[in-house]
Amino acid sequence: MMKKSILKRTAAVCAAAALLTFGGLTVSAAAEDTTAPAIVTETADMLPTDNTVVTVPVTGGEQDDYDIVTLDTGNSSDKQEKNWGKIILIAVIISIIGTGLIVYFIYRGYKYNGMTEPYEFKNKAPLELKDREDALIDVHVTTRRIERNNNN
Amino acid sequence: METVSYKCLNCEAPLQYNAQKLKFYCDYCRSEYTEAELRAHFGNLDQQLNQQSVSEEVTDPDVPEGFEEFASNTVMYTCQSCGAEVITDKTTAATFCIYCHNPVVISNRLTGAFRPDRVIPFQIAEQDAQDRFFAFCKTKHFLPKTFIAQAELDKIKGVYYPYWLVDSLKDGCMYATAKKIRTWRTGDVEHTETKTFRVKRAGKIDFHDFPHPALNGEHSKALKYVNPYDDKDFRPFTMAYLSGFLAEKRNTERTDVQADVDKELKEYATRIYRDTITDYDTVEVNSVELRTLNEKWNYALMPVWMMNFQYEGRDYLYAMNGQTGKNYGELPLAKGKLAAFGVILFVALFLLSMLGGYFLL
Ligand SMILES: [Zn+2]
Ligand SMILES: [Zn+2]
Repeated sequence: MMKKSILKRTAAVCAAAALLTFGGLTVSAAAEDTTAPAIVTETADMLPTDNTVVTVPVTGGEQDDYDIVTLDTGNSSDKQEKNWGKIILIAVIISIIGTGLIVYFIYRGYKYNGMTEPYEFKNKAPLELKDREDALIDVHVTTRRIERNNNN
Repeated sequence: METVSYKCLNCEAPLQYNAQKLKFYCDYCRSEYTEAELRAHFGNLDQQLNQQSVSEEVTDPDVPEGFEEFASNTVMYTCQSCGAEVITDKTTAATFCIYCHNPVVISNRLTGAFRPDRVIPFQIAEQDAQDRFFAFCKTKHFLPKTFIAQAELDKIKGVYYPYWLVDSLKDGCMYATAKKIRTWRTGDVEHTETKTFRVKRAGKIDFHDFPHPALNGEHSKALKYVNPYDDKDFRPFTMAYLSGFLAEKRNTERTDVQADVDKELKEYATRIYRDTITDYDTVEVNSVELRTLNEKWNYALMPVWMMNFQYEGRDYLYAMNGQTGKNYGELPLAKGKLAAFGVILFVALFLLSMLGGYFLL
């Protein structure tokens, strides 16, 4: 039983590490991708039966697409240095948050050891469901244009 | 004087309930008695005392007749065995004479309105409770190294604590807003569709034996989290089970804690209804309505091992469920060990994040 709890904790740490690594990957990928995707937001409230998607592309930011492309094909060493700075910053932030959370949970585990569910409501409080209703009240579609990186 | 001492039928030495044998045991002549045997001999003592106290109509059960009120929260009685004057708290229902260790049950505090309906006798003996605690400590990696060797178990007390056990039949419903989110791509365009649903769940919830500590005081958190107890060992209440242990009587009335119980049951009802809403990506509860169709409050005594530790000048309290061994309390934390672990963790996370960044460059 005790071994189980250690396994659980280790698994939680591994999962957190994996999650953070994935987060790091995603964020650093975003940092690297200087051709910031032109985010398109156009929402449409529609009837459930209507499946037509309304798409109005809008270029994001003050910059034009062409400016961004110019940036992308600029001095490659400049770009790399800039990315390393961002990646280090993001890695530090992720590590601080991850370490903080895990250390806090360990601290709580000692301060309030054994603070678990005191009432087995799943066995001791049966529910006799009389009415179950799931009514669709709204459908909402957003679209986003994804920029392709033609250089790769 | 209304105290009861359960004495060995063979040698007159005090009897104690033995949690391992699940029998009453005499330490001196090693006689063993079952609850039924004791009941036969003492001629259903509980019932007699109960009738007696009802007919006497004890006005203040905190200060039974023959007891001198001593200071504000303590009461004095005279030990039947050695004649010494013993001081107890107002809520003590079973204790020992501090001079001759004769176990005594203060019967006035367990009769009339204060007679518990049920009791779970101790299933874990004192030595077993200590062994379990130290075995458990060995699995905790951030305990100070010296804790197990140096921790002084100041005292370990087997205490029967009073609980309200609430049976409540509720009828009600929950309204919630739930969402289903779907994304797909056509060419260069990503679409995200959000469907919003109004969800209603209605039905009866039959809460059974919901425990609420019936003793107001410092240990209420520990008394909450030593739960749950297992129903299988419930016995109709008999005072004899308390012999050899400490026991507290309740100091709350139903009206004092009704609001707390209602609030807790509503929280559980919310979780129970919520658990039936599946297959959505997000669920937001809007409202829960609940009304009570039927409610019954039982009064029970439950076994808890209370352990007090001294470590590096600080006191620690640890509580263990006397039936299941489930525990709750504060453990000392090796701050240096945790800090070192934090540093290693930070470096590991940093390297992993950097590795992630590197491969995507
Ligand atoms: Zn004996
Ligand atoms: Zn005595």
